[in-house]
Amino acid sequence: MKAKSASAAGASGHNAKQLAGLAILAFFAAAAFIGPRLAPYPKNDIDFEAWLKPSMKHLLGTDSYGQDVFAQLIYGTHTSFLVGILAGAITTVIGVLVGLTAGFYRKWVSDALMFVVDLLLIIPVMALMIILASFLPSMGLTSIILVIGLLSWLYMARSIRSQTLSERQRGYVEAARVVGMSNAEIMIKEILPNLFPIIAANLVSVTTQAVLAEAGLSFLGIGDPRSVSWGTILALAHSNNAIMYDAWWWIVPPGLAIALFCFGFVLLGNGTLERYRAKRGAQQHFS
Amino acid sequence: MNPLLQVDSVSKVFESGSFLRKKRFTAVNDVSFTLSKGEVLAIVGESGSGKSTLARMIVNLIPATKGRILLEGSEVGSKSRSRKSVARELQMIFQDPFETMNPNHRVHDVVGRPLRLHGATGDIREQVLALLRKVGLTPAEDYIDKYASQLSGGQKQRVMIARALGINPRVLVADEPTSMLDVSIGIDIMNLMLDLKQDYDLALIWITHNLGSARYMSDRMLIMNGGRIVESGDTEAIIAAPRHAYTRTLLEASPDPWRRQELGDAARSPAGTAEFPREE
Amino acid sequence: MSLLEVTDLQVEYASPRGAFKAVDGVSFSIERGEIFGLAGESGCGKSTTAFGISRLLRPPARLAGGRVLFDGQELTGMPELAFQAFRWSRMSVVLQSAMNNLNPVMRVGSQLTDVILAHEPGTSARDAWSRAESLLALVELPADRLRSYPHELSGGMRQRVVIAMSLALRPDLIIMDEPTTALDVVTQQGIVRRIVELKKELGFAVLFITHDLPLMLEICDRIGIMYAGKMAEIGRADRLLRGARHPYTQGLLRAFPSLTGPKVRIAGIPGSPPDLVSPPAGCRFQPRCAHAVAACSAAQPAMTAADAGGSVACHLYETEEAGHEPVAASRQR
Repeated sequence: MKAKSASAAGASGHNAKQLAGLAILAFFAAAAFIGPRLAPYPKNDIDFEAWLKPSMKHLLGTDSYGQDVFAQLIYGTHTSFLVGILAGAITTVIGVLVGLTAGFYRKWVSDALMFVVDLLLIIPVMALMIILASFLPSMGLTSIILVIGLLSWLYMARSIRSQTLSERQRGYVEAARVVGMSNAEIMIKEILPNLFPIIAANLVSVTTQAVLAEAGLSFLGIGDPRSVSWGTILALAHSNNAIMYDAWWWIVPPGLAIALFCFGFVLLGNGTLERYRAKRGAQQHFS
Repeated sequence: MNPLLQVDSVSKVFESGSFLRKKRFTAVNDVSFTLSKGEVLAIVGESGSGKSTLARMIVNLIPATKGRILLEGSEVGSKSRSRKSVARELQMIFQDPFETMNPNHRVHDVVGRPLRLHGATGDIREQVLALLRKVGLTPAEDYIDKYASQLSGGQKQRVMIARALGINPRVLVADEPTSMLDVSIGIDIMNLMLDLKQDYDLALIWITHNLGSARYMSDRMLIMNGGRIVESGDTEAIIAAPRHAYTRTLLEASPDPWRRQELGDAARSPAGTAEFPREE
Repeated sequence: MSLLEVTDLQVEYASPRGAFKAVDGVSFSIERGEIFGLAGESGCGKSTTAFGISRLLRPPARLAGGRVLFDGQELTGMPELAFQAFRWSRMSVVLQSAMNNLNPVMRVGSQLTDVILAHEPGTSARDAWSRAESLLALVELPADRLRSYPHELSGGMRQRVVIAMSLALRPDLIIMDEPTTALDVVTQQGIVRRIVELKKELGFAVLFITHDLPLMLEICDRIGIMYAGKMAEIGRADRLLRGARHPYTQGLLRAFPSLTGPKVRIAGIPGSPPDLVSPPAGCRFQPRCAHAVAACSAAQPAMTAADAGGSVACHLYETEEAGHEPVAASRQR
């Protein structure tokens, strides 16, 4: 039978998941941008005794170099947050651009773009990142962001393309042609909003992957040696045998920060999707 | 008087398969007809008759393989005419309002964007409200900010009509716009289109598989089968005395108990007629 | 005794905005060898009624009350296993989508013989095959089609196969839910004509569900018109054609443009069907009804008997008092 219009329950306002996700991300944003000014000690300050347990003076103790872990964590948040957001943004922009174009213009445009994507997909991305990172003259934060951003869009482009392929078959695209809209307008104004769920889902995964990739590169010692990030903290803890010294305060906090940051993104993504579906999609079917 | 729209020996051949084993399918085969200002022409056929393909060629959604479509002497499909300039003159209402109204846009966007695209200035919202009133969505203020999922099928179809109307076209092609709707809603849509045709001095092409709705809407009709026009002429005359065998088959098969009653059929059950061979 | 007797059937749907009755107290009966039509617009509950009778309801829908008697046997309390056997052998179901639900990797013949073998395990493969051949003959398909795969058949042929399948165990009742809606009129007519002929030959009864009222008037013996989960009117097809009683039936009949009679403007039915989560007080059609009186919004009309064995649920026919002119004849052209 025909679809009945669904009620617009939850069409306005935010839902709990969205709010929780936003709160987590706002917390990290605050830590990233305001935190460094409030940090108890300057960056890379090694004036303290090594392996101190958490105390009032050192909330998360000190590491083997005598750096305050809490202060390092705050500086690290700045780096990891920037990498996550910016590399995620680069990935999304390229992924959407390539995917949408390849899906909309079938035939040779699509074939050519997808040939490049398939070619790149064969190469293990992490290995390529490591190689690139070791050959680049200086491995600053910008290079890290660019390397991650420019190499992570492939899967996103693929999934956006396949969704575009199915969207362009739908009636509203033909209806838009009939009223005289140009291809660019149809892609951007008609199809793109309908790709939102798939973009949101991808955005969540590429951002979290960017944070993890940065942590991974830093952990392997390829990042910027001067900068501090969640990954470099973990890398140092590892190479200095923190586990053997039972220095949980050096390992657990950056690990938790990574997990929580990713969780915040997932919550925000899922919450936004739920709201989106409640508002425009879901139609109930009954006879 | 020159016709408003002239369809001149138009054909459409679809090709599929690889270079070596190309399959060709002629969806529309050498179709010609004319449409005058203010006229309603019905194109009647079953699925696969080519009627929807023909509609899409008329509004230049797909190019014709052969033949020409002329609007007041100027060719619609020619490269020199932009999609936008064709859209100004020729609009189309589609079969499935559940598909053609973008689920992500509010009524305001759906109706307002084409207005702006075709050069409307000033208070677009006010113009959209006026169009919604024209198509019977009142109070218009209640509808203008709604999404597709908040509207019924009939309301969506009215939105799509308002959208086409906003462009102020001269020819409106309606491709079975009521077949997805309940009959009591569908008849309202038909009445609306007849009224708008009058008010806007539109020429209307009414595409349908239903002879009853063709009779209700049109002055003249074309019967299509297998991509060809098998019969054309005054609607009432064809229904009263069909000449082509296929038209007779179609008429026989159309459920219409009132007609059967009038004809005094002995049995109420449909008379036995062979299935008409069709190109599949 | 009627073949099928449905009394006060209730089907409840759970929706995010609260539960509602998609079918609310529907009663009717079907006699042996009769084609009974159930008509109405989308959301009126006609298909849900059929699903309730044949136990095909799936959540969020559930049977919330009522009794179904089949040949004197109570169906509502029957254990699931017994019902499954019963469903093919005595009562079969043909759905609109059925023609697309044939197994694409099995030949038509195997699918037909499977039905026979599953319900009559003693049958030899040869007997089953020859019965499958005669079943195809019933629906006017050549026997060699048994070796075809579903994709090799047109939509009309596939629907014929589905009907053949529903006939496999010689049921007493076939429930057909929009069996020809997806097909072209010429194809539809061939199939519908064959159903009517088979009914005469084999003597089964049909519950025929469609929104296509003109088709229904041509083939059904009696018709029930549903509106917003309730039965509005039941009557003989020829009686409805001459003059429906319920204002909704009249409006619905009028809304189909005919090929005959003078060409006049047809008025639709103003308004739209009610939201079943919070239906209007009194008669559910009253907000859209041109003949509504005070009583209509006060109480729900009960089904009352009318002439020619029909019945109608409308306040205009409940009282014998003067002042209520019977509603004008249905089709003034």
